[in-house]
Amino acid sequence: MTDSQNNTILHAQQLHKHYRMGSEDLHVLRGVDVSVKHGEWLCILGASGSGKSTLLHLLGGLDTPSEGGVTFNGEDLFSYSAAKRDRFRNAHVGFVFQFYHLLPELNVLENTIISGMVGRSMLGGFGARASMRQRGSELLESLGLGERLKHRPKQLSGGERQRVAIARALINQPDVLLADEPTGNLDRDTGQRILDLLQGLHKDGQTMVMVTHDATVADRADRVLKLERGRLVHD
Amino acid sequence: MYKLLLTFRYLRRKLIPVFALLAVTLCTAMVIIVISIMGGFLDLVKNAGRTVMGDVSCYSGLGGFPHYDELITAIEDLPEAEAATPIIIAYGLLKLPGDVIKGVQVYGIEPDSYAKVTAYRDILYWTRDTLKTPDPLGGRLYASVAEIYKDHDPVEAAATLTPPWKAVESRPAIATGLEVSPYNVRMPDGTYRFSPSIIGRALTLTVLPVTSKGAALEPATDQFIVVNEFNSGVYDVDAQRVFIPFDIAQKMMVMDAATRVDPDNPTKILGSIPARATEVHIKAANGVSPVELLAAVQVMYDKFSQQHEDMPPQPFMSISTWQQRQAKFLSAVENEKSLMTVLFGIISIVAVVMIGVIFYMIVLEKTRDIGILRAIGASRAGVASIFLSFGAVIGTLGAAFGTTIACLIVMNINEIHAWLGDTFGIVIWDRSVYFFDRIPSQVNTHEVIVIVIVAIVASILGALLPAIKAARVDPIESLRYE
Repeated sequence: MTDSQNNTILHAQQLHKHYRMGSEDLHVLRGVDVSVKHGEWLCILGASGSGKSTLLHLLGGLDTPSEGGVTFNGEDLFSYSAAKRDRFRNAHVGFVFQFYHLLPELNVLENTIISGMVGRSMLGGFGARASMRQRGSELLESLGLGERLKHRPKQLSGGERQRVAIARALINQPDVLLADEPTGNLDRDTGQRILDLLQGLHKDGQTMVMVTHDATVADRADRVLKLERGRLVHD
Repeated sequence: MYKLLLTFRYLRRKLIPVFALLAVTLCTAMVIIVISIMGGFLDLVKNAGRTVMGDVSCYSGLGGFPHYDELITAIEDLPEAEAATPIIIAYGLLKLPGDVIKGVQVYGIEPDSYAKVTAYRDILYWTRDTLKTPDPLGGRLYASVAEIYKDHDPVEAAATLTPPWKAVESRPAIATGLEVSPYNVRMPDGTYRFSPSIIGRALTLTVLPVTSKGAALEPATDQFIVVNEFNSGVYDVDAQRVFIPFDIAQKMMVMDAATRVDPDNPTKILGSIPARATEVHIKAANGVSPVELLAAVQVMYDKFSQQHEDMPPQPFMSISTWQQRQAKFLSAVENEKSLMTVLFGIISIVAVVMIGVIFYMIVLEKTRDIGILRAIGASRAGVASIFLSFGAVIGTLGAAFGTTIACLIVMNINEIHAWLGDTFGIVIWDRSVYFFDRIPSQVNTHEVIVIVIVAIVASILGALLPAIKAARVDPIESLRYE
């Protein structure tokens, strides 16, 4: 194994993805090859409908490819059993979505630590409850949400919601943060602050893959790839 | 753990689960109330049989049969039998104060042995305790009876069927059902008012004797002193029956022993006619079931009737358990109970479908949450179990609420019924139709446990399809849009 391969955390090879829309077959990804290195911030730029979200879901093991494969630290994600892939998503990946996707019935702190609960058994969950709450509070505090722990998502602004979503993605200290248009639903200033936050995380060593249609957002990344008609084009 | 958290959060934050909860609560309550009251009714019928009948009885018709005392001796020799008593049953007219005439069923009993075979002593209304009870109307009503009985025990008077008072001690006594006197008024709460009581009064009873061949003789009339009244709880019995001493009944009905003489020469004795009784009631020995006793008596009677050729053979002498004598009525109630159970079973299926629909709606509404949970690593089974435990929680809570409501209603059913009657004039439980003066108000623990388990299982079943649907949610599809 070469050094460069050793440093690769995620590697996608000849990824194809078809969707059926009625009688129509949509060939969304047409042979994507991409590698993500440890500590790297990779940005994938693409117009809406270019398949960038699909690529992100495949990299995170949330969706399965029609052809091709994804390796995580050299292991083929899609040779995992469904249960193991669930555990993989929980332990190694943090998803951040454009529409935040918080659970409306839970408060800010609960929304943050739910990822930690999902990974634990009933007993383990009860045992680790205090430490999870502690860690969740600290994390939220560091994201400027220390006063908002007991609030519900609907009581928060868009930027605050996205910060809770980022806290949720970070709670299990994932190897890779996968962000899908994290600023797409925010005004310019708020979006900038979220990007500052992500940049700070990156500086601390967080590996990140972000997809966006916004070239100014992409400027902050280490490396930018363009997704056009289902294929990656180097910038 | 997240499953528990979400289960309880979904339960607390939404209105829809409340409807599911309500459905389970109402179904559980409904089934428990119906089963308890129908079952209690059945038990009442059974127990009522015990208070006024022996476990097994022999009867051949109103004409009666001879050699009853020998039969009783033979029965009491059986190890299966504890005691036996002869009864004379006749129909008569009772003249009450104010010239009120009532048709009554006359029971000629030997009070001593009758009390051993039935619960005769326990159903007597007037006891020393009754007379000590504070009078609801300030001493005016019970006072007259208490005055009559100031030196005597009303139970003893009934237990010997002898008037305890000097002036009338030679007269025969009578104990009447509490509903026989039109001057006894039942209050909605089940107590009685007496305006006035007939205790100590003389009543005239007329009966029509029949020969063993069924021919009617001259009516016989006698005066009886009322020594007590009884409340068996069975309306028909309390409204129609009177107890008089066996020997008096025998004489009035011309069933006593006599000598047969030549009509042309009254001094010439042709033979003797043995005394007759119309029924013999038997109580089973401890630990012996009525059915076992019945078998023993039937075998014994076959020999007995061969020894006495004037005794009717079976089946002209009918020997049966009290349950067989009440069979038509008992089976009607049993049928009604099973019919009700089936009906409510169908209603419960409707409830399961309703829970299914409600849960399906919840799953549809929560599709995005399911996608989020899947994205952060929740398994399909984990997502399904949220909805299954949701069903279990709703089932458990619904069953608990339903049981509580049902118990409160069943245990206070008579009060509720009285209140309905007082306030709205609604009388559902007519004593003359349902035989008993009180609506049964017992809750059977075993039945409740079964119903509760069924309610919980049904709720989980109702949640099963929606849970499977939840497990199948495609996270990509559900996360695509806001």
